[in-house]
Amino acid sequence: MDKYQDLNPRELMDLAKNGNRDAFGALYELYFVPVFRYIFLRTKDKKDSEDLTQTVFLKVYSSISRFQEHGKSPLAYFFTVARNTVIDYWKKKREVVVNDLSETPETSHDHSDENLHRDIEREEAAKSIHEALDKLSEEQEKVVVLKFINEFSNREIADLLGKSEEAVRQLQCRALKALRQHLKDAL
Amino acid sequence: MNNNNNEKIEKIIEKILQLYDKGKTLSDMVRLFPEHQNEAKEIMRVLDVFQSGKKVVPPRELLSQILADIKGVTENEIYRLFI
Repeated sequence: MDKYQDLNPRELMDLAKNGNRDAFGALYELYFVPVFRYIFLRTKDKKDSEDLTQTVFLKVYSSISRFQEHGKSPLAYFFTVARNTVIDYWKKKREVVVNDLSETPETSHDHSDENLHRDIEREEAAKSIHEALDKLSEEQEKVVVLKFINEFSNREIADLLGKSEEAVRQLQCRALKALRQHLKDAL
Repeated sequence: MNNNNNEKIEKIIEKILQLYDKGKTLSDMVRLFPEHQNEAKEIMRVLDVFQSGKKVVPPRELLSQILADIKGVTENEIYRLFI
């Protein structure tokens, strides 16, 4: 698969659309972590995130012929499929009220009062943000996840989404404002 | 009053985003807003939740499994799984 390392995602997507499975594999290598992190942020369940990541990649594989670039990166397409997959997941799990946040990897095992209090506060904040993400527009959500979870630069996000850097900055600003307000109201 | 507050929050967020891009830590950023510590802390709390998301790493075996699945089935078989 090494010969595909020099190709950019759009070139890989073109090859993949023509049935080249190695190009598809190279694309998956690139997007595996960002897609998984996005799904984990929305589900907070490691096992479910693994299952959903698998579902997303198989869905993209089955629908790749329908991908149209329109100035956007293939990652934007993967994220759209991931978002819809997570929405379906929550529809199916609607009856489950309590979301288990105990598996978040940052949870401390030091059970001093201070740490316990901080962990509970953080878990409440995480739960509130998870709810608030539902209220963001699809673009705001993508920008926030790419920026703060996957550490893409504004330039990279602009290229991925086919937008200007200024538009990306505005989306980030509005998203943070909405998330902060939601958190303030919720806690 | 509300408009003033909105503008104030937007300015703080813009400034925080600039500092974030310069690699400042969350605690550094709070210290840089002595007059608006509460607002800054609220925004930091949002960023703090996202910071934890960066530590999440999926198992490599999952990717191998997905790639093996794709190699092992036809597009039509996968398509049928989702309709």
